[in-house]
Amino acid sequence: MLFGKRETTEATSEKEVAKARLHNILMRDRIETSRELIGSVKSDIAMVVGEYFILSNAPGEVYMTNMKRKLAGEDEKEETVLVALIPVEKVRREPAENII
Amino acid sequence: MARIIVVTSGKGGVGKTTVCANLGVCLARGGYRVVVIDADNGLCNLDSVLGLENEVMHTMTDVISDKCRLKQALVADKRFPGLYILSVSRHYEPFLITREKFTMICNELAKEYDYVLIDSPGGIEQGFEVAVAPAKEAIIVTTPDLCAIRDADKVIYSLYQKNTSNVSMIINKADMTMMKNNQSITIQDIMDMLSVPLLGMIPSSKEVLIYSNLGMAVSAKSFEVSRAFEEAAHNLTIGKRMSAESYEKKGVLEKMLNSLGI
Repeated sequence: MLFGKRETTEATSEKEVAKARLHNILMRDRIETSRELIGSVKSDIAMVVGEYFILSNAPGEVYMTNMKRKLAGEDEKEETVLVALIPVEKVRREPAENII
Repeated sequence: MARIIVVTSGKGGVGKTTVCANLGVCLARGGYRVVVIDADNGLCNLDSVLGLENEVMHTMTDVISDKCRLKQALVADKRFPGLYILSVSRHYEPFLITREKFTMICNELAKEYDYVLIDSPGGIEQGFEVAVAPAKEAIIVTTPDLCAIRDADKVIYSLYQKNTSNVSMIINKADMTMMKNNQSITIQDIMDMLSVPLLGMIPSSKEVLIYSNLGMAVSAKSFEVSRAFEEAAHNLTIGKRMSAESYEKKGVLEKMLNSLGI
């Protein structure tokens, strides 16, 4: 088939699927190998949030996950996101001093 | 003083031993004095890849247990003057070869040779720890296989933690046709994911298997894959790194056909 239209749609997905899977697997592995990193991200986020809010005593949670998201004008795609749950009590009125 | 370089991958079967043997051959052909150490404790195959299985009389185990001198354990490859191989052990010896002793022997060799290449065992266990210990440089061998890339990533992370900061990569068994047809992860994808400079790309080819089964070095022949090994070895000596584009260049005709959507 010298001048046949090349079959691209299916073939493109093979490479793209492999690439997306690799990306997700690597992200997960990298996070797993560096749990300390998440720990320090968590305390840093709590510190920054604590400047604006009075934090609750309930434990916070920080983790990586994959999420499907649709941005305006784009197709829905899966992304790796950092989720931070920092329980707060109320907004701080005065600037915080020496938090944590 | 030699450069001590560990060739490692994490995953088995990606071609560490083949890459190591052929880099050694190319460096020796380039006039360097090279020792290739087979650090696969108990499962060594470097000797057979180079057809030297009948020449190995002593191993590093014998050196450590004072059964022979270091020079006696080195096997010279007579086809390539300047190339020597050293096997760690023919039987699994988990306690004899420690990081300290292995490092001491590598440093000893480094005084007399230009390159000490260490063929690391697969995995990230004790054997890997020993193989990596003396090396200040590392070459990661990977393939466009998802599992190989994943394991390479773990090894790279573990190397950076050990201060083996000079890490480069060889992509082995690359099928350029599959990459062009969007059927495979590409050279650029692997570079983006692993963020490691590329020393060379070895195309997937049947000659590698044929010649390693014959116990002959494919890099000393004149195939496309032979030139790829030579290029990688040359890049290693001059510190040159490759870009993905240099491999993904398309012919003029193909570009025209592509632009016409054919």
